[in-house]
Amino acid sequence: MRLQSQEHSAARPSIFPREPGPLPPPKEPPRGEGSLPGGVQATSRRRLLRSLMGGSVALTTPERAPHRDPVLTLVHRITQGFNLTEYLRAKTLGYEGYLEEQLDHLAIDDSGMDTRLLKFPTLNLSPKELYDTYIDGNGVPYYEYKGAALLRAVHSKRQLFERMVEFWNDHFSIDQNKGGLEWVFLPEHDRDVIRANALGSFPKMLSSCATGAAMLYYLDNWLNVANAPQANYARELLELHTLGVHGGYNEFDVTEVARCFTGWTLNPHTSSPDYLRGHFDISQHDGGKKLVLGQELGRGPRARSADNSTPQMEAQQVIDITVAHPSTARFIAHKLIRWFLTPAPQQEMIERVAETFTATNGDIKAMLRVILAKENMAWASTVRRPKFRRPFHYMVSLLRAFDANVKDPIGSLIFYLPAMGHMPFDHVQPNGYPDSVESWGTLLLPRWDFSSQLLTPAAGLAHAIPGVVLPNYPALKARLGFSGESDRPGLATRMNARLLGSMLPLHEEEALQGYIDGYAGTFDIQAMFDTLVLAASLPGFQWY
Amino acid sequence: MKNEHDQHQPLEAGFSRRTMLSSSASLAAATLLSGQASAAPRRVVNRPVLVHVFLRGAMDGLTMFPPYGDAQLYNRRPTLGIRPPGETNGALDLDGFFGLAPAAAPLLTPYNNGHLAVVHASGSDDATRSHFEAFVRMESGDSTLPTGVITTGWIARYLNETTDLATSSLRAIGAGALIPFSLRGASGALPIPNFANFVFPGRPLTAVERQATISEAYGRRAAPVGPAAIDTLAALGLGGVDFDGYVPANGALYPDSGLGRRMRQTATIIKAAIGVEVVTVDVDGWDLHAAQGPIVGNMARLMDELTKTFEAFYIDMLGNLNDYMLVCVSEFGRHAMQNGSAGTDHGHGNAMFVMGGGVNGGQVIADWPGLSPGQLDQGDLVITIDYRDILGEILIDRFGFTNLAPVFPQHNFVDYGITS
Repeated sequence: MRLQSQEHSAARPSIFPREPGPLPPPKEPPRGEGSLPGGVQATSRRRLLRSLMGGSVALTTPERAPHRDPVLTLVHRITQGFNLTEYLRAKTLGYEGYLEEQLDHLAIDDSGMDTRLLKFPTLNLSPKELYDTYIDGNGVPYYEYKGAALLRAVHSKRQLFERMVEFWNDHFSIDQNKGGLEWVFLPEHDRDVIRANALGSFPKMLSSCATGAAMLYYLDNWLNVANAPQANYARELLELHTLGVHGGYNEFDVTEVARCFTGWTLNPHTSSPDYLRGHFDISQHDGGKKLVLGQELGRGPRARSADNSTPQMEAQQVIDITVAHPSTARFIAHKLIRWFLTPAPQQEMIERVAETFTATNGDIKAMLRVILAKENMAWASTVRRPKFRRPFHYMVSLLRAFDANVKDPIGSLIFYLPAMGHMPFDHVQPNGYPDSVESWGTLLLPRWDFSSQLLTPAAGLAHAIPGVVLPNYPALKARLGFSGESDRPGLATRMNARLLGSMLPLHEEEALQGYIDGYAGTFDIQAMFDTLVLAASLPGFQWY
Repeated sequence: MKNEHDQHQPLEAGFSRRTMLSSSASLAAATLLSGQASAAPRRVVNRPVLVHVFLRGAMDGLTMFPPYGDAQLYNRRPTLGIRPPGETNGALDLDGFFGLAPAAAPLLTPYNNGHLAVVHASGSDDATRSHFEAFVRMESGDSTLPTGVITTGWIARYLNETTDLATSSLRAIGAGALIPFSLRGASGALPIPNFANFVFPGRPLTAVERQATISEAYGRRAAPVGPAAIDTLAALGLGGVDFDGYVPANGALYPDSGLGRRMRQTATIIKAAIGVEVVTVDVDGWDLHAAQGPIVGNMARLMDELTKTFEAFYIDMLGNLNDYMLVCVSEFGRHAMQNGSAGTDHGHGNAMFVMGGGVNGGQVIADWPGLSPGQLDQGDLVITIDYRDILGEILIDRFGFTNLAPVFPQHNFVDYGITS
C-alpha cells in the first residue's frame, strides 16, 4: 500500500474564500482523539483543490473543506448520523436556521414517524394496560420498546430531540431486564419523563423520574420503607442524576434522602387506572425530621403549625435542593458538553453552561444554545475533536448514510447490537452506557461485521438484513456518479462526501481509492458493495 | 506446593482452618515484599493464565461466605443472615467460623481439594461506596491518584511490564463487549464477546485486500483504536481453535448461560495455549438492595450459576491446574445491617477468592474485624486485608513477577500465604 505524503500541503497558497473568520484558539491543545498528531491538517485543502480541479463534484457536497463547514459538524453532532439530503437541507436553512428548527422539535412535522410507529401499539399503553394484556408473555412490548428507539433514531425528523432522548436515557439509565416487570413501566416513562422533557426542563424530568414507576422499580425505592430505609435510589439520585460523585454529599446525606423517599411505591390497587403507577403511601413514610445537604426537611415531632409542607412533598423538596446545588449545574453541563462537543470540556465552558443552568432553572434548550453556538463547531469540529461513535450510533449512522428504509427493526436488525455491546436498555448498572473511545474503541470486529451484513447485495437487491431496504442499485450508482468502469477515478471521494459525511481523512480516502483502482475484475455490484463495506469499516467513519 | 497426587484428594479437616496473621508476622512479610524489589521480571515457563472474574454491583460476601461464628452477624442480619451449619438452610462449614451459602455449595469441590482459598474482610481502600469509583480504584490498583485522572488498569500495567515475555500479539481477552478498566492501556488486549465468532466478514475474494487497506488506515490511528484494529486482524480466527466442538474434560458440565459459555471458552483457549495470558470475565447483577434472597431468591440464583460454572471449570481443568489462576473479586461489600427491603445497601469490606494450582486452598484467610457496631466502618465491614496483597503475592509466586511497584504504586505488601 502506498504511503500518503502530505508534505507539500503547507506550501499551497491559501485558496479559501474568507468565509468563517479566524478560529478562536482553543485553550487546550487540539485533541484529535482519533488521529495521530499532524494527520489531519492538510486534508481539507487538498480535497478542496481536487474537487475544484476535477469539476465533477457538486460544490454543495461537503467534501469542500469539511473542517471549515460548521453546518457539517452541526449535522454530525445533532443528528443520529449524516445523511446527504438532511445535510443539503441544513445548508439551505443555514447554521442558525437548522439549529433552531431542530430545537423547536414540536414544530417539525414528524407524521411519517408517527405512521411507522403505528405498528408498535404497546408504546401508548399505560402500566395497567400493559400488565393486564401481556403479563403472560411480554415479548411484544419488550421488543417494541427497543425497536422504537432504533426506528426513531433512524427515521425521525426530530433528530436533535432523538439525540437528547438517547442522552437522557443514559443519564437516567434503566435496565429493561431488572426484576421482570420493567417492561410494564418503561413506555410511560419514555412518554412522560424522557420525551416530555428531553428538550425542556431538567428539574421537571428529574422530578417526574423520581416519582415515576420505572425508576421507583429499577432502583428499588418502591420497597423503601420507614425505620429501615434503603438507599439504592437515594445514592444514585445524588451520584448519577444530580450532584456527581464528588459533588459534595456524604453517607449521611444518602441515608437522609432515602428517608425522605420512604413510602414512594407503586400503586397497588388493581382496579385503579393508576395501578402500577408511582404512588405515595404515607403509612410507610418516615415522618421524622431530616437533614439533606444541610437543609432541614420534614415536620418531625415538634413541627410548627406554620410549616405547610406535607410528607408527600419531601421528595420534591429533595429534588429542589439537589437542582439548586451548584454541583448539579456543573455535572449536567459537563455531561452535555461531552455529548455534543468533546470528551474533555474546558472548565470555562462548563462554567458558562452551568451558569445558564442556574439562570434558567435547568432549561435544556437554553444550555444547548450555548453549547451548540456556531463558534464551538469550529474548535470542536469533526476534524479537530472527533467523537467516537458508540455502536448504536454506528449502526444508525450507516443506515442513515445509505437512506435505508427500516421497515422492521426487531425482526433482525436490532440483534446486531448485543454483539457490539450496545442493545438499547440492556445496561445493567445505573450509570448508562459509556460515551468514550476508551470504552468502545477496541471492539471493532462486530462493526465491520455489521457493515458487511448490511451492505451485502442479496439476490440483486441490497437488503441482506430482513426488514431493512436499501435504495436500489441504480439509485446508489446515481448517487455515487458511477455508470461504468470509467467512473472508478474519484469514486472514493464521492463515497466519502455523499455517503459518509466526509469523515474519512484524505489518506483513508486515498487508500480506499487505491483499493478501487487495484480491483482486478469488473467493477460490478459485488465489487461496489465490497468497497462500501470497506469504506464503512475504515477508522474515519468510526468517528463523527 | 502440594504434590501432584494430592490435588484430587480432599484435605484433612485439620488443615482447613482460618489463618490469622499476627501483626509482627505481617510486618516481617511487609519488609520482604514492599515494592522495593525492582528486579526485572524473570521468565517463568508455563506461567498460568490469569482468569480475572469481577462480580459487578458489590457481591455480598457476608452472604456468600457467612461468618456464622460471629454471633453479631444475626443482629445485623436478623432475617438475611445465613444460619450456622446444622440449622435449616444453614451454611456449609468451611473452617469452624466461616461458612458457605448453600447456593454456593459447588465451591466446596475445589475448596475441599485444597485449590480454592477465600480471603475475607478484604477489599480496596476506596471510601466512596460508589460502584463506579470503586471499579476504577480496584481495577486500576492505584490509590495514589484521583479516580478521574487514572487511565490504566493494573492488569494492563502488569502486561506492559512483561512485554518481553509475550509470545502472542493477543495477550488478554475481555470476555465481553465492554473492555474492563483493569485492561485499559494494555497493548494486545481485546474485548471478545464470543470467542467462537472471531472471523473477518464479507466476501473471501476481497478479504486480503480489504484487510490490507484497513490495516494501513488504522495503523495511523492512535491508541486505543488503531492498535486494537491491528491486534484484531492479527488475531482473526483465534489460532484456529474449535470452540464449538470443544468437549470439556472429566464430564464437566457448564451451565447453559452466558457465563457458562464464557468460562467454557476460557478453558478452551487456556488448553489451546495460543499465547493468551489473561481473560477477564464480568458478572453483573449483584447490586441487591431489595429482595436479596440469600437462600432461594435473587442472590441464591446468582451464586448458583456462578459457582456451578466455577465448579465445571475446575473439573474441566483438573488436568491443567497449573495453567490458570482464577481470581474473583467485587468492588466492595455490602452494608452490615440489612435494610427494610430485605436487602443490603452499599458497604465496604468484602470477600474475594482464588482458585487454581499452587493456591494454599481449603482455608479462609482473614483477620476478622467483627460485626459489632463499634467494630464497623460507617456501618460496614472493616477491610483488614488489602486485595493488592493477595494479587501481589500471586504475581510473585505464580507468575514469577516481582516488579510490583508500577502495577500497584506505593503499596506496602503483606504476605498472607495465599500461595504455596
